[in-house]
Amino acid sequence: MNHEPEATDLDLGDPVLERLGRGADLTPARRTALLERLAPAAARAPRRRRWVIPVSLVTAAAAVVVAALLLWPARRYDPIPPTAIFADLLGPVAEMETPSAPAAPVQDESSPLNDMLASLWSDLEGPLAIAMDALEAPKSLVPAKSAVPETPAHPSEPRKGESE
Amino acid sequence: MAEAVAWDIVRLAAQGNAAARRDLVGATLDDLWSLAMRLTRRPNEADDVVQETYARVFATLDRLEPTGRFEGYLARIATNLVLERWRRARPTAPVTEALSAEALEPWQTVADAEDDRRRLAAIWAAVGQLEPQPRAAVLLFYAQGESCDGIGRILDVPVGTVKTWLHRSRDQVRQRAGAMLQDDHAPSHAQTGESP
Repeated sequence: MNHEPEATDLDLGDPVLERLGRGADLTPARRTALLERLAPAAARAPRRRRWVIPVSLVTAAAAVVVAALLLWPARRYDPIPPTAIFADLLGPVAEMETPSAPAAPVQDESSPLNDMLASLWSDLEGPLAIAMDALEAPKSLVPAKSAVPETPAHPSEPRKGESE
Repeated sequence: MAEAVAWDIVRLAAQGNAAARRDLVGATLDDLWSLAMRLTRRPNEADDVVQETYARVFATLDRLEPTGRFEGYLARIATNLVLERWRRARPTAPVTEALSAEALEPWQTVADAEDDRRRLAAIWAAVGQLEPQPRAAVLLFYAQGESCDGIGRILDVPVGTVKTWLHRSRDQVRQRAGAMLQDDHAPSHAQTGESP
């Protein structure tokens, strides 16, 4: 049995624990075997990080760009005029009318004078109505005098508890 | 301890020079394997750790900053790989397995006496019951002979933390190893006492 020396708290040394380090030497045979095992990793060239983009992805992206360039002008200058769209919508109505009888010209009600008068009327309409009500109010507030004087319903009957 | 590896060799190895890579391995293999062996106490596991360490180092050589010692960088990677293994493995081994024939086998070469091997196996089992980082600190300090500063750099912790781990862990290892040896001896003594 080995003697285990007492170590103080301040001293981290411990001969018993230090013996754990023994028997950890690499033997020549194991070294040779290990070198053979490590040879492929040592001989391999370092891999540089590269951005590898698949060819199919590049082709697809190029195709999308080309298609956009080819189709973009056609969409930009649309050959269908807006009048054609309205003609499609209003077509049945136009067909009901005879070409010989042109539609009567519609009177244009909007004119600067009409607009000005309408605006003036809309501004004055409210205050004018209030003023008219104010003029009529005194008549409606004065009560009409009645010919018959107000009398109690039963003046002869004394109330309960009243002294006679 | 082998001579320190020059950063020139590391730079050449980073550029893909096969001869420089072989030199790098040749110059660092013995110390790296010893470190792995001291941490794992299994030759085959030490081989695996060494291989994985070189694989990681070669993959990151071009990004390596030439500061400090290259061996320190290797030790750091190897220790972290062992820590990962410990964290993945079960945390503690049962006491009955601590002094089994398989547990004694790694100590065959270092101590001939049965008592010595049993003692070392008990200490190893007690060390194995420590948390991964204190366990690594104990083995790096006592088995590898690394300084507290060096352990702090390897484990990326302050020196004070390393010292605290060492103080605490040493007491735990003593108590647990002593208890294991007592439990192991008790049945045999009882048997001899009963027999006429």
